[in-house]
Parts: sequence; structure tokens; C-alpha cells
Amino acid sequence: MRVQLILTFIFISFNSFATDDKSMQDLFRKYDSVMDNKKIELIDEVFTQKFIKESGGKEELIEKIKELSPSAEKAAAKTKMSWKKGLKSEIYFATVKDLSQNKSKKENHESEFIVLKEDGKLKIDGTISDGN
Amino acid sequence: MFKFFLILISSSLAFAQDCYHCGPLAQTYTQPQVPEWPIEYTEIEKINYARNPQASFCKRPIEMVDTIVLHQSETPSTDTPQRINEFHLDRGTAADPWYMIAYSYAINSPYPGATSPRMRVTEGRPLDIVGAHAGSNVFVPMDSEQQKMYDDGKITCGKENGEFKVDPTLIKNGKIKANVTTIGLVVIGNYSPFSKTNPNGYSKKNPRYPTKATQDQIARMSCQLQKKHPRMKNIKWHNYYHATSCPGTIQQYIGRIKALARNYGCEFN
Repeated sequence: MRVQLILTFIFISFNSFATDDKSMQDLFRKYDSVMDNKKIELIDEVFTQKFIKESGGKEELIEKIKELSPSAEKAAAKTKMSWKKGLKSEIYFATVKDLSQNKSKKENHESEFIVLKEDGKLKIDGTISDGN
Repeated sequence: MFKFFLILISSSLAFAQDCYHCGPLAQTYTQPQVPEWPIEYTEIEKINYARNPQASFCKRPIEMVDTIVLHQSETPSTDTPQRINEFHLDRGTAADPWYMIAYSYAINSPYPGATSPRMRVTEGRPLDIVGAHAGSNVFVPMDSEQQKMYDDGKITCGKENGEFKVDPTLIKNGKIKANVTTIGLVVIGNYSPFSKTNPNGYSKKNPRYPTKATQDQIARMSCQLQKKHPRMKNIKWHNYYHATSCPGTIQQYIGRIKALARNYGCEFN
């Protein structure tokens, strides 16, 4: 009975991880489309409303996305994402590693994205400085 | 004549209230408000932060600290130290969670042209608890006094209500973890340009720099720390220790911050 319970728990945990992982991969694929290919119509699906507001509103955010130069965009496209669920709250930390080769050591770093659920969907709520 | 003296005295008091960090009279005026801290330059707000009792942390004598490390939170400037604490309580792994906010002090200050948030300094992780800000895999040389404190078993690690022991992993090739000899001073905000890896950043058309008031606040806070803890002789910045965009454009103002601190009677390397 105990073994059955443990196995059920493991199955549920794995299932939940798989669902979250798929949603997270989808989110960052859309994020890539917004930032690299300027698919600004996806902004509401990618960012929380709070983030959009704190960015000065949708228009200002779109302006900033459009400002990204083609070379920066090309370099920034080389990223790798991994994620971790918060220990206490319904929050996710996604680590985006910039793999660009032509960047200086200072710029070639990892960014920690804060991801929250809004209306049941994962969305980017901003970033936080890497520490530890 | 008496009237003249009355005006002179009342205007001096008014000056003291507006600018309490500017002169000796003002210092005397504000000091009694928080007796445990010498309010010569800035006031520090205290918060009763939530902590994770399951987390390990290390204690140290404050004399171990010789460096103030400047950070930016990379979050919006309106975020609070409590929110940073909540984020940090969510960090780490189940086996190795974070104890509490990683920084020892947090500065809230408005961006150029903005009026909020209110400029204030808040205490974070107590100074005698090793922070989590410079990079856990970064090791720095020790001077003889720091070496002696380590050798004497003064730096110990453990959990709340548990046993504290010397942790040999704090040392590598004769160097010690940078977090042990430093404290983190974070400016809440994002002073790096907007990019794919920094969507909270500023627009390139409108670069964001720390205001003079923010620079002054960092200088006064650093100087206040040095006055109380004379071994704190260095100001460094996050990416001095490892590759990161932190602390953004604040880094360009380190020289100026040190010069401001000099005006307050402090010398930083």
C-alpha cells in the first residue's frame, strides 16, 4: 500500500513537472518570437500585465523590442533555458544562458527570469539579479 | 539685537531639519532617534524578515568583512526588500534552500526624472550572517587577520537551533569564499539596457543612470558602515567577482561614489 502511494506520488510529480516543462518551453519559444522576430502580437501571452505596466505600458515595451538591433537580436538568439519551481510559492525561476560567442565576458552571463501563472498560464513577470 | 539672535537660532534649526547629514549641529539633532546606530549620514529602516529555518547559513565576526559589494536587483525600482526576501526564500534547492534576503542592505531610490519610490535604506541580512550575493564559487585571498579568524574557528555554519561547525568548503587553495569577507548593498532597480536577457532594462534611447541622490546615498551608507566597521575599506561591484550585467550603469559611478564618501571622511579602495 505504502509503495503504491509513493509510486502514485512520483507519477503525479513527474506528470506535473512534464506539464510545467512543456508550458515553460512554449513560453520561451513565444518569447524568442517576440524578441527575435518582433511578433509583438504575442506580448500579452508572454508577459504578465504587471510586467507590461511596469515597462511603461505596451507601446513603450513594443518600442524597446523594436529598438533591438539586428546584430544584437542575432547574438541574443543563442540562448539556453532551464527552469526551477520556487520552493515555497507558485513561482518559477527560468535561467536563460546567453551562448553568444561574440560577446565580452561581462555580457556573457545567465539571466534569471521570474515566471508566474496569470489566468492559469505561465508568463514572464521580469528578471532578478543572479546571486548566490 | 536679541531679535537677530532669535532669527539666527531658528534658521539654524530649520537647516538642521532639512539637511540632517550636512553639519555637526544636524548630526546631534538626529542621533537620539535610533540610539543603537550612529545616524551621522543616513537612517536605516529595519524589517522583521521571514527566514527559512530549514536553510543552512554561516555566521562570522563582522571584522571578517573588508568589502562592500554593489548590486542592482534587476527588478523594478518600486520593488521592496520584503519582495526580494520572498524571491530569495524561493531560491535554491529543496536540499539547499536560501536562508533569507541575500543582501545586507537595500536602497530604494527613484530613477532619474521619477518621484517614487521614496529614497530609503533598509537593513537586510544581518552583518554577522554570511550573505549570498557575490557568487558561491568565487574565492578571494585573506589577509592575516581574516586567516586567523578562520583558523580560530570563528566562522561556523549550521541551521537555526542546530549545531554550528566550521565548514572546510569555505576555503579553497588558501582562499576564502567571497561572500564571507563581503557584504551586499543592493540598489533596487534595473540599470542595464533592455535586451533579450534583460527585458526589465532601460530603452537605449533613454539610458538609465543612478541619480546624484542615489550615488550620494550609496556613499553615505558605505561611509557610515566604514565609520562603524573600519575594516570595510573596499567598494567593489558584482561583476568584479563573476560575469554578470549587475550592477549595470552604477558601475560607471564607483569612482564618484568613492569621492563622495571621501567628502564624508571615508577612504575606500
